Amino acid sequence: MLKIEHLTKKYKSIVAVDDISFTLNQGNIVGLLGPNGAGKSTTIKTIVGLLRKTNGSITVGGYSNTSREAKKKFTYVPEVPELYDMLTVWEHLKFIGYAYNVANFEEKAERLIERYDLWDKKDKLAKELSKGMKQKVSICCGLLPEPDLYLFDEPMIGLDPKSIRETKLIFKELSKQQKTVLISTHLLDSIENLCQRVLVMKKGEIIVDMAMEEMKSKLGNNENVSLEELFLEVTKDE
Amino acid sequence: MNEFKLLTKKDGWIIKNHFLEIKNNPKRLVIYLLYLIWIGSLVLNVMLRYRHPEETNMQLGPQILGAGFVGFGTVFILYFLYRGTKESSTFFNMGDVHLLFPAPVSPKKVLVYSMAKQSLLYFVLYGIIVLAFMPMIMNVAVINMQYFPFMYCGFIGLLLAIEPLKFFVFALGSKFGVREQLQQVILALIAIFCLYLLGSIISAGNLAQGLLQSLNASYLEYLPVIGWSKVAFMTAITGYSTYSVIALVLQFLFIVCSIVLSYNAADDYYEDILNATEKRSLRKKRKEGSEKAQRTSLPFSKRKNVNVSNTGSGPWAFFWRSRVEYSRSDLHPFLGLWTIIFLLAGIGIGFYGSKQTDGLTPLYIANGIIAYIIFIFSAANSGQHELTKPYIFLIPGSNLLKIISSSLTDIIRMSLNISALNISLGILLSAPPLAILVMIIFVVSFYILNLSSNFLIRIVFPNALDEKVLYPLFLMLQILLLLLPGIIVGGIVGFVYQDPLLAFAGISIVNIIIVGALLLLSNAVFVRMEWK
Ligand SMILES: Nc1ncnc2c1ncn2[C@@H]1O[C@H](COP(=O)(O)OP(=O)(O)O)[C@@H](O)[C@H]1O
Ligand SMILES: [Mg+2]
Repeated sequence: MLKIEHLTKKYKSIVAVDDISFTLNQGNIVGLLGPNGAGKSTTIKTIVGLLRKTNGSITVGGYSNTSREAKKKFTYVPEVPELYDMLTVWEHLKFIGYAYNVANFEEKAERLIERYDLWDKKDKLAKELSKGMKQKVSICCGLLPEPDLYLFDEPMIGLDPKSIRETKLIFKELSKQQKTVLISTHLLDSIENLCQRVLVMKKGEIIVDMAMEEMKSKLGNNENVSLEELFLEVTKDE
Repeated sequence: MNEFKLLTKKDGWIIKNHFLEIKNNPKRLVIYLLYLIWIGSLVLNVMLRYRHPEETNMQLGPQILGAGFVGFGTVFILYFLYRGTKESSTFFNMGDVHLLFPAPVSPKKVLVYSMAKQSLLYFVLYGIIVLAFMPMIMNVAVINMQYFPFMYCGFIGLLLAIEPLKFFVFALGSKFGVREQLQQVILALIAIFCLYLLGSIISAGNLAQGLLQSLNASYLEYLPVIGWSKVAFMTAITGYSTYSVIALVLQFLFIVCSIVLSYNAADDYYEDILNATEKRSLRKKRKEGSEKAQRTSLPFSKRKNVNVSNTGSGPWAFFWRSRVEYSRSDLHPFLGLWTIIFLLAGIGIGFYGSKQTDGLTPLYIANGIIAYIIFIFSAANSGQHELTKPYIFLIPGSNLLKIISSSLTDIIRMSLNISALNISLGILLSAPPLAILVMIIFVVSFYILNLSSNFLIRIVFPNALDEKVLYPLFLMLQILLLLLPGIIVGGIVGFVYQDPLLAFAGISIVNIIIVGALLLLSNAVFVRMEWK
């Protein structure tokens, strides 16, 4: 579904992503982990096409990531929700519905905003929403087109417990529907029982790319080893 | 759905929401009404002048206007072209970046739509600038209103060309990796322009005459952009010719072409505009008072490691912090670029003023203008204050000290700058030391009153911050109220004794009394303040 080969991204002289390669197959739910500044957001923004790749290739479903065909196949939920100040919640969903040519988007949008408790905020302008509510709208916008590939950058930040649970449920559903999902996150427990595979980035490189099972067994097959401990173990400085 | 339809729909909703907002909150109308009144008064002013043209005995008027147009226009265009090699212009906001760009839409169509939209919008909005300049233009030249549309389009045609050009330059630079070469070309153009001016001045043997002649040279009228728009602009003053129409058409063709060229040059411009868009949205937030301004730092002092020793603990941390910020962005915690500018201004005004008059009028006028500018800026830069951060509310210590320590650096800097200006100016005008001292105290007390307004507004109009559009207005009103007593007293004293110096002294004394009272009340002020 998503194929990244030798991707490098430089900001002027800073190498934010350094020659990484990985492939996500259909149905993969993959966690992209790593300490702050590891290059997770840069990787995702480059896949989305907001940043130019310095080197390497990215294809989505066989198409180059900046082509229109590729863009039809994925959606993106940014790290910081930025909406149109002067559009209402409902108009944002309508806008996305039109932009991605979503069939029956009204029905789907209604279901989504109900799940995220936004129904009473439907006609509020985005500039009147709190940050958490903006994040919810931003997630709804990412879910509405029901693409094959979802790119989430820290989706849980700022959400209330109910929305976090709802988001996790949605991830499970996406997994059942054989969708492909790439989630960058710090909240390790939020993806612990969800991802089949984790990628760990550090200083622009992928230092671990393993199935969850394999990773656990590698560290002594101890039921009590949490993802957090694994994470701290692999990212610690030598 | 097709891109143009999608974007028109979105903009339609936005316009609708603006109207709904006004309907739900008619208070907003006040601000629009004020704008309307202002524009109306500008138009009225122009019309009155047109009906009763004052005798303009400035024979050089048209020439000065033409030279000014070409001179400023060229500087403007070259400056923005140069900026274009470093940063793109943007036609987007962060909503576009996150919702529109990832969507399967054609980046080229999105760009053309946004450029065209912005150009149309600015075509109307920039009209205000033209209106504001009109009285000045009519002072020096007689205008033929029949050709006013030419004047308008010529002026605006120049402004409209800037953003697409800047975008195009950046797109070229990043697409073909020729940023440095472009930079050199533009620097060469700047050098040619300067040499041309210098040559003409030397051959004319007179600064003013050289400038007037070289900038009005008829062959310049065939230069793209600058020449064309100048011809159109001057039609209403120097008369109509067929070339007026040709020039105007050429100018607008040029704008259309630069949009079309940008369309062709740009297929993956998303990253290029990212920086500019982020900056713009930050600027917008800052205007609304919700984000603190970053100090723009001088190029040579970027990321400098600074070492500022501590002067005290508790509330004095604010004093330390602001000195650190200034030493990182400027030459010295207390002295900087502005000190030099003020010093030079003082010397310049002093030389010029001492030739014109024997009195102290230049001293008064210079300080009056500075006070006015301080007033305007403090109403506009509402966000630039420690109060937008929570720390001033959290750090334990006396409220009085907190207020003083958080403003002290700014006050010291302003005092030094004002002293640089007044001392150099005063010496050149051979003003008595007392007069210099009074003027320094006048401006500084004025400045402190403006600073304290940032605190006061939060109790006088506690909801002002929520009314983002109205906030600057409230602030201005409040500052006026604060200044009123001083101005009244100063006015009376000055009138009775017929001495402007006494008037300034009166204002300063009353200002100081008010500042003192505010400081005494600082505890009462602070307990009522909320962090928003
Ligand atoms: N616009 C930018 N300009 C320069 N450097 C940047 C920019 N954005 C991110 N970086 C740098 O790139 C690296 C990776 O950042 P990012 O991808 O945001 O990390 P993460 O999302 O993993 O926390 C960091 O070292 C950061 O400082
Ligand atoms: Mg990140």
